Amino acid sequence: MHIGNRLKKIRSLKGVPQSKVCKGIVSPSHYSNIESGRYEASEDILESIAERLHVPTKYLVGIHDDSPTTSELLLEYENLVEQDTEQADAFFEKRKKQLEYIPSIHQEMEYLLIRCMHHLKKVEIPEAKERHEELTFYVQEENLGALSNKTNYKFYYVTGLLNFYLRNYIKSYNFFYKASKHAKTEQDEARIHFNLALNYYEINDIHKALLYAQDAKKIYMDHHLWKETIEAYIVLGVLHIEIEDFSSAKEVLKKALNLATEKELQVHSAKILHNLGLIYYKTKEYETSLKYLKESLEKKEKYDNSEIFVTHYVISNIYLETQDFRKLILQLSQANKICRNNIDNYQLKTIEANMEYLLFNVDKYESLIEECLEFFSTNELWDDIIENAKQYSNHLYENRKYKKAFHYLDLELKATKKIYKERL
Amino acid sequence: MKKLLAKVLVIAALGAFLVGGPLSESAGKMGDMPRPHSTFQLM
Repeated sequence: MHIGNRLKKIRSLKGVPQSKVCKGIVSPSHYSNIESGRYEASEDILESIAERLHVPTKYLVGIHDDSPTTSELLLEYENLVEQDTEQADAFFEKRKKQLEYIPSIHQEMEYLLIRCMHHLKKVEIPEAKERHEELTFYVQEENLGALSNKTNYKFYYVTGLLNFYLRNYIKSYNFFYKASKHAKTEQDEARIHFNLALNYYEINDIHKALLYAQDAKKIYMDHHLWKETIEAYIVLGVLHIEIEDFSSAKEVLKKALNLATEKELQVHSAKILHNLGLIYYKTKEYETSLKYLKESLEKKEKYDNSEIFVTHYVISNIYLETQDFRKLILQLSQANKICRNNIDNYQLKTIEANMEYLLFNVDKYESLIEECLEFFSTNELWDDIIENAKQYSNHLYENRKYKKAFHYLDLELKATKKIYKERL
Repeated sequence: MKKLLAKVLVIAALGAFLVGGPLSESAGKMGDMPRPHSTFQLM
């Protein structure tokens, strides 16, 4: 690690070109050699550059000076991030001035890893991405060998997580896989396997997902990590639903529900109730399904409503299936208010489109579904495309609009291919 | 010409198994999954 990494990082964050940084201090070619690590820079030069870039001098002249105070701060911050995000928030607010310019590159790297994880825990993805980009000025695949096992593990783990949230599942898988090579304990391995199961679920390789989830569940259970065990059970439940093995799904979800009730984990209970509701939706036992889904909604409203949309979405689907349009319209207007993003909005729009179809408003159906498919295809949401494109293509075919029917059949094929191709 | 013929064949084949009927579920993933486990705790 050399001063060039630090200089490039500051320049990039402040948006200053090389020519402006070195003007009147050193020649552009000399400066470029400093950044690339070919030349060492004298303290005088670094002081002038620090002044030009408005950063403390120590930030440029002390890149190898680890500070014991910073070490303590980082340790405390990391522990809080692991244990209690709110306390970590408060800690960061209080200490952020001290953490703004950490002279030691090694310590700044540690800080960025913790900060990135802090954002990921709060699902603040753009912020996590920014910290990660800063990190990559110091850590690249080529120099990871020179770093400690712990830093390697943390870097791979955080990068795997970030890519998961960015929906780059193959990348995420690869980084988690690399992290697993540096895992020290069974628990570390369980965490990675749990996340790999989620990755495989997202790319529709359910059988591999099941293997990883079962493995994670076993380790968590052996170590009496109950919250994690429940979560692994939930993953297993959803995976069994995906392959339509409803009796296994019921079995694991009931186990999860008993455990969550015993440990008074209400947010988990709400998730489990949703998934039990989903089983009965799939088996077309709508009354039982609604009973579970509404119970789930109640708990979500009371304890944590961050995942409330998906429950509203399934309920809307039930009213569509049962053609209870009065309830569906009410349900859609409620669900529309809690959309978290455009994906949610368009998922609801597909239900609305199907409702219009059933009400014989064919023109409305056509324009809505085309709009949705356009959005799904631009955003590569292949899962959402398959069924809708198939139905629409079918509809167009029946109405002798063959050219368009072919276009949407082609889209369905493309989506199916993408899903298969994404498998590892 | 060949391309057009292929298209016609595909559409004809389509007709063989695409039968109408009410639209079914809107698809997409409907499970409520936990978030990934995000903790370092390398012990």
